[in-house]
Amino acid sequence: MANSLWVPLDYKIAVGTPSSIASDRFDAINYLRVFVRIAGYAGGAIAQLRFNGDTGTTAYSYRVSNNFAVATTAVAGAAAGIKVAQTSTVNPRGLLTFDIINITGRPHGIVWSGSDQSELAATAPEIVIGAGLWATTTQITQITLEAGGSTFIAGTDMAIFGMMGLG
Amino acid sequence: MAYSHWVPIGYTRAAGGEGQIITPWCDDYDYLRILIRISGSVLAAMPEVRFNFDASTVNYSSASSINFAAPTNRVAGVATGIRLFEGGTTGASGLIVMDVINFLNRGHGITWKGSILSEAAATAPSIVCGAGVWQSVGKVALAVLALDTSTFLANTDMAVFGSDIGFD
Repeated sequence: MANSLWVPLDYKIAVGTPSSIASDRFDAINYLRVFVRIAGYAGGAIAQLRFNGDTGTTAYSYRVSNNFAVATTAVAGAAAGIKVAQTSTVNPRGLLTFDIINITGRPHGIVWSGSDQSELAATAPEIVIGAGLWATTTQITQITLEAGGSTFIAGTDMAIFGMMGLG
Repeated sequence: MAYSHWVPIGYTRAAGGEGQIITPWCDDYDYLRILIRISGSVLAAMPEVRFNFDASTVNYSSASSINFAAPTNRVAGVATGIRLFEGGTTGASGLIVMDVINFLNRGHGITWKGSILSEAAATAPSIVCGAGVWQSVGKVALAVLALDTSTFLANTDMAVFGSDIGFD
């Protein structure tokens, strides 16, 4: 594992129409970047990220907006993952880029931005901005992109990079 | 100095009680990415990022918005650093990601976004977005994370990564 490089930890792409794509286990690394492209959904939905197989509603909270609308919030008791955008759609989400801090013994701050709802030159994409939290203090070693109750169109993918850094 | 990848060039972590933490490094990279986590502060305060120990009111301007409210602007004459967000707090901010362009003989454009004001699943974090300038044309080679009126709790930290295009 390189301390001084962003290294690819895993890559998964949907073949067929899965309800989620899940990374393999990877090394616990202090800083993570996750690139998500959603080709589309079978039915209107908002995908969510989950960590280490946690499908509970005790550790996630987030706030997310499309095009700077009043944000949608969800907290423990309701949030079962980090919703990647505010707006349900069947359309593609061209790129969502997540930064996640992953230092042992701490909650996980998460920030992301995205180009959403269009992969067509004729239609401007929407801007996604989000802030989130996974309050568990164990390090993330696995990430799942779940389709929010629908299924993904083939070609949806997720790339995970990590850097150990100096911390 | 490597030209082809992002390298970690500085890291600092508060033991607790510091009014500022400092990340020194030697090489002056063309592009910087700074990751900040604030575990909290003793008294309500607002955090700022400063460069090369410049705490004057000559070179900084910034605009920041929480949850897409109209941004608060701070300009030369008042601004002593890049104010990450307004509204004093003692609370934790999980992650702020700042990008800085760092070419010689140019002002420094700065953008950031963050997940702030909560590290508890019971409270949704707020979204901060910001834009800033450090007008000095010297290259950034050191970053300071400072509070205006208080001290940091332990484990507040700042990591700096750099990359070079290699043309200047």
